[in-house]
Amino acid sequence: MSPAEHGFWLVSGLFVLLALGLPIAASLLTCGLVGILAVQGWGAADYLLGTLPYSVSAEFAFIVIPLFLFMGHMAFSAGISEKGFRAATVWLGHIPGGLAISAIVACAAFATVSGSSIATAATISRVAIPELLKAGYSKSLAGACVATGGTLGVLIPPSTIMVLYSIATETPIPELFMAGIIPGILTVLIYGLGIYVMVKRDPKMRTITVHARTGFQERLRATFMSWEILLLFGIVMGTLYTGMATATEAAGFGALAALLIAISRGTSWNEIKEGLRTSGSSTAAIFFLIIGAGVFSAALATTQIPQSLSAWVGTLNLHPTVLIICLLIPFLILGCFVDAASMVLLTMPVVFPIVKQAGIDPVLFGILVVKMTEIGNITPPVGLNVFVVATTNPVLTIREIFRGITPFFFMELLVVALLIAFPSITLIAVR
Amino acid sequence: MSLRGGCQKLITASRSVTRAMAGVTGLLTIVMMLGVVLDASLRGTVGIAVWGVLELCTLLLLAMIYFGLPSTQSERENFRVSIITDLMPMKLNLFVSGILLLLQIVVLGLLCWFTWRAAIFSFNRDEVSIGLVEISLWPHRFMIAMGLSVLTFQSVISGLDLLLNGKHPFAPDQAIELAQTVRQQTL
Repeated sequence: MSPAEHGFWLVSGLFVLLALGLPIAASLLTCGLVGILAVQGWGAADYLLGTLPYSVSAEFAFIVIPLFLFMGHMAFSAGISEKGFRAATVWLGHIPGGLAISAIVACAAFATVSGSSIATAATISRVAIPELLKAGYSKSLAGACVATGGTLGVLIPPSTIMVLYSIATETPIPELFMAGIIPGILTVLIYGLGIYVMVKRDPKMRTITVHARTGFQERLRATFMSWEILLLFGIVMGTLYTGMATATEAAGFGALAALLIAISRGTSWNEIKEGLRTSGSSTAAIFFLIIGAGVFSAALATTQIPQSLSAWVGTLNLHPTVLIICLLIPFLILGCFVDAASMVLLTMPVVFPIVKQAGIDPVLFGILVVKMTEIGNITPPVGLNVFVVATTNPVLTIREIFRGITPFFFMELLVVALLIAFPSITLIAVR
Repeated sequence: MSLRGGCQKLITASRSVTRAMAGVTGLLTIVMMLGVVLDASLRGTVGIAVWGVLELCTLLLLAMIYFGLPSTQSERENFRVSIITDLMPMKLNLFVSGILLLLQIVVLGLLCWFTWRAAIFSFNRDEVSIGLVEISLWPHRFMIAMGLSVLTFQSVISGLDLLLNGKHPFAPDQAIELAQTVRQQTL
C-alpha cells in the first residue's frame, strides 16, 4: 500500500470512529497509532509513541490554558457579569432594542475576562434573559442574542481557542490576542445594528419596554462600578500589549487578580475548589485532544498527505481570497457537529501547511478560524451555546432559540466577509 | 460479598479516587499561578529569577494533565461527536459504545506499554533536561506512564459500569437526557 493510500484509510477511519461516537481524542489516538504502526513499523512506533505524550505536553507556555480557564471560572463565581450588564443597560437601555444590545455588550465585557464562549453565554443568560423577557422581547430573540453574544468569549481575548490555534500552528499568542480585539468590536457593532433594525421593523416588538435615558454622570458611575472587568482586562491585555509580560505571565497575574476579586466578593472555598477542579479536568480533556492530535499528525506526516495536498493546491493557482473561502467552508460544515477545540486541533495538521504555502497570514487565518468556530457554537444540531442558554433558562426551548439564531448567523457571515475583504481590520493591531 | 457487589464497590471507589485526583490536580493551578507571578514579579522588580520555577511548573502541568485524565473518563467529559449515536435506539447506542470502549482500552494499553518502556529507558540513562536548570526527566515520564495506566484502568471500570448498570461509557447522563429533549423538540 502506498503512503497516500495509507493516508486515505487513516482519514476515513478517523471519520468512521468520530461518527460512531468514540471520544475525539481517542479516535485521533487510535488512527494515529494504527497509522504509525502500519507505515513505520513497531520499532519506530516504540520510539515515537513512547516520547510523543511527553513532547506534546511538557511545555511551560502551555500553563496558559489552566490559568485562563481558572481566571474565567473565578470571574464567573465572583458574579462580575451582572455589573457589566447593568453598566451596558445604563448606556444603551433607552434605544430601541437597547436591552438586547446591552446583553451583547455585557457578553463582550465578560469575554474580556473569560476565554470560553460557553461560560460567557451561561453567565450572561442568567442575568440578561429574565430582564429581556420581562421587557417584552420575544423568547427567540432573547435566547438567540445571548447565545450568539456568548460566542464573543472566544474572539475577544483572552481566548482558549486562540491558545489552541497557537499551539497547533506556532503562531504567537500575543499577536492572536491583539488581532482579536477589532474583529470583536466589529462583531458587537454589527450585532447591535442588526438587533436595532430587527426591533424597529418588527411590529410585535413595538410594545417592548425602553428604559429612560440616563445622564452622563450616572453612566460614568455605572461604568466605574464594573471596575473588576476593566481591571482584569487591563492586567491581561495591558501587560501583553506593553510587552511587560508573556502570555503565561499575563495569565498568571489575571488568574491571581480574579481569585482575589472572587474572595473579596465572598466566593466560598467550595466554589473556588470546584473552579479549580473544573479547570483541572478541562485542561486534561483539552490536552488529551492535543496528545491525540499530536499522534495523528505524526502518522499523517509519514503518509505525506499534508505536503501532497498543499502542493496540489499550489498547482491550482487560486487567488488567496478564494483559497481562504475554500478553506473556511469545511469549518462551517464541521462546526455543525464538532466543538471548537476539537475542530481546531483536528483540522490544523492538514489545513495549516496549505495556509503557509499560499502565503496567507497565519494571524488573519487564525481569527477567521475562531469566527468559524463561533458560528459552529450557534448552528444546529450541536450549537453548544444554544443548549447552555436553554439549560440555564428552562422557560426557553431549543427550537425557539435556534429560530432566533438565523439573522445572527447571517450577521456572522457578514463579519467574516468583511474580515476577508479587508484583512487590515484584523492585522492593523499587530502590524 | 457477591461478585456483582464487589464490582459495584470497585466502580464507586474508582470514581471517588479519580475525582479526588482531579481535585488535587486542580489545586496545582494555584501553585503554578503563584510560581509564575512570583517569578515574573521578582524578575521585573529586582531582576532575580526564581530558580527552577519553569521546570517545576512544567512538571506540575504534566501531573495536572495525566492525573486529571482518569477523571475525564469517569465523569465522561471527553469531547465527542454524538450526532449519529443520538439517533440510535439506546440499546444499539450502548452496544456500539461498548465495542468502541474495547478499542479504546486496547489503544490506551498499547500507549501505556510504549510510555512505560520510555520511562524505564529514561531512568536507566538518567535522562536530563537541557536548560538553565538540569533536572532528571524520568519522573516526568513515569508520571505520564502512570497517568495513562490509571486512565486505561478507569476505561475498564467504565466497561464494568456499562455491563452492570447500562451506563454509557462516553456520554454523561445529562447529555443523553438533552439529546432526548432535542429529539422531542425538533422532530
